[in-house]
Amino acid sequence: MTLHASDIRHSIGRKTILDGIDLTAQAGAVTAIVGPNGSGKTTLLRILTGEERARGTVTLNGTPVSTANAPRLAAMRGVLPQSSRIAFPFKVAEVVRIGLQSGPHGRQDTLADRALEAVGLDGFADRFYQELSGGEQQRVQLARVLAQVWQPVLNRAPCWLFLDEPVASLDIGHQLGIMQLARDYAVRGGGVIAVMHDLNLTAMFADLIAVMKAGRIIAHGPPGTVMTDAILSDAYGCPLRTSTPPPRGMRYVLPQSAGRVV
Amino acid sequence: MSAASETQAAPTPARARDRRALARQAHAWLALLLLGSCIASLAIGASGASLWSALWHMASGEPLSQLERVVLFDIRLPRTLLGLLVGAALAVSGTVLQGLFRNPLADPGIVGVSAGAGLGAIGAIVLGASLPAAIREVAGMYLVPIAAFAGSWLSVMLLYGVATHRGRTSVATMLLAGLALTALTGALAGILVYAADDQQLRDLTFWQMGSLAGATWSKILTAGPLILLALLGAAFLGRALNGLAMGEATAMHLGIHVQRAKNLAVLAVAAATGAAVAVSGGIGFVGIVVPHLLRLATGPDHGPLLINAALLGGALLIWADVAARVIIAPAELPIGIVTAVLGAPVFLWILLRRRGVLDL
Repeated sequence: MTLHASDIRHSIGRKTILDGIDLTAQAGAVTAIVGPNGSGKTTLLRILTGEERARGTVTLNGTPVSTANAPRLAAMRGVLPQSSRIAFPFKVAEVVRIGLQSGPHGRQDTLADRALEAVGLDGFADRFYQELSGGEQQRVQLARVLAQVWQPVLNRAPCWLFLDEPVASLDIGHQLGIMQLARDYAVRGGGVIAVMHDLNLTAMFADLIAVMKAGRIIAHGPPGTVMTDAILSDAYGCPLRTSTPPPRGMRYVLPQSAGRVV
Repeated sequence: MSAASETQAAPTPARARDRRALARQAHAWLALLLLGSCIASLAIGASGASLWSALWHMASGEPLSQLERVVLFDIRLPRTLLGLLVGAALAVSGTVLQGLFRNPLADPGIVGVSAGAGLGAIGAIVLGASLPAAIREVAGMYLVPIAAFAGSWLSVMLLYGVATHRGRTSVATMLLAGLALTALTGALAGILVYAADDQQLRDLTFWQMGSLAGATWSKILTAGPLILLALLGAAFLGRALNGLAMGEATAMHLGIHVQRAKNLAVLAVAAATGAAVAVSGGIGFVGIVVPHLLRLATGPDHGPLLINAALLGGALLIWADVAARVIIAPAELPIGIVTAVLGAPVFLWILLRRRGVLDL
């Protein structure tokens, strides 16, 4: 079961945002989309989730996303947006329950508590969402998404998490925790698509990386083959050096080793 | 975060303060309050007729006196029912409009929806006579409510188009657009008033005085079905409005048919406000006070909120009408004054408390 996008094209006015994207992602793996600002990452994610229409086709578990109705999609994928403001004074537990009730486990109230625990927010259930810090709000939203598609595999079909910069406003401890959570979801059979900014976290947790530049995918593959000096320097338009530290064999980016220009 | 937390699933103490149970209990308490309000409204009034002696007469099989029959069945009962219907309609309109615009300041009276309905009603009164007889025949007494419905529907659509861009609403734009809409409809209504003849002016004057004082069974029959339909439609919007509180995109990801929900919300607001304005003129602030108090007490979950709003809205308007009747008895205050005295401070209070987070 896969997410399959082929020949996605999108433009706003005369400006081409996406220029023929082909992307296939498997359940059971974390797929990261990286690239510089304005390369089309978030637009691509919106098209993959059905939020925005574009030319080309997207299928999720074989279902065409552009024609599937919202409840059907909601049963198989949760979406974490970049930032979420909420209009009324909802409490944390109520926000998570809104996600829970949108998915297939609507009646299992305890899942809301477990989702909050999973993002490290146990004890926050009775707090008002608006009174939390940005990072805490981000994790409440992730708990909401998790509660919606709690089982990575349901009726032998995988469920999917679409995460737009899931760790952007988090401290390093929670960045690692949330990325591990995404990884666990994939290991248990679910699919994870994440738009990422932090290349080192991406190298650490992603199975596959799609590197975008100016509306195209210029490289796609496991971290070892994609995270090279040449590809990253080209994508981000600045000299970057990657390396592989001895013990675990993971790639990392160290801008310092490329030196300052002046 | 660890795998160990998977097995713990301990109930959190937060459960004790779950607002859902509270909101559900509120259904029963508010229904009781509404029942009590209806009885009070039937019992209290300027004339000497007594509900209790009338009930005693009925129970003991004696015929009612002429005064009792007229005061209770032709004046107080329709007035009470109309208060209930209009109060529920305005409170639910406010709740739905606030959910649709994602902010607590959207009230049909404040953002110009009532004004649009009023323009529709005035148009029907003044121009109705020049319609082809066949149409007048078919529309009959429903002409004014239907025109008011059309006026409020156009207003909501216009307002939404102006204030909402890519799924986000600017509160400032919404309030300013409401201001402009109220001014425009007021001007158009003024032109219509100049065009009206003497009989129409009399009709207009009585209609504009608003209040529930002119309640008749025929008004209940014209407005009732439209209001009940709107309330029924609104009852299905709970989950959608909760989702919309997080923005249109997230609502869609939560499995909500966003466009369908928005259409239903707009129609429900237009029908409820239109019918209420057609029979009672402009009564303000019910739509802002009721949802706000309920959100403070039982939280913003729109499922129970919509039901509680209908119950409390009905009770509030009935009490406002009782107050309007007794404060300067035997004369009457316009009910709009009573609701404004209650509601305008609440509006200012919300503004004061939420100045910082107003722009969503």
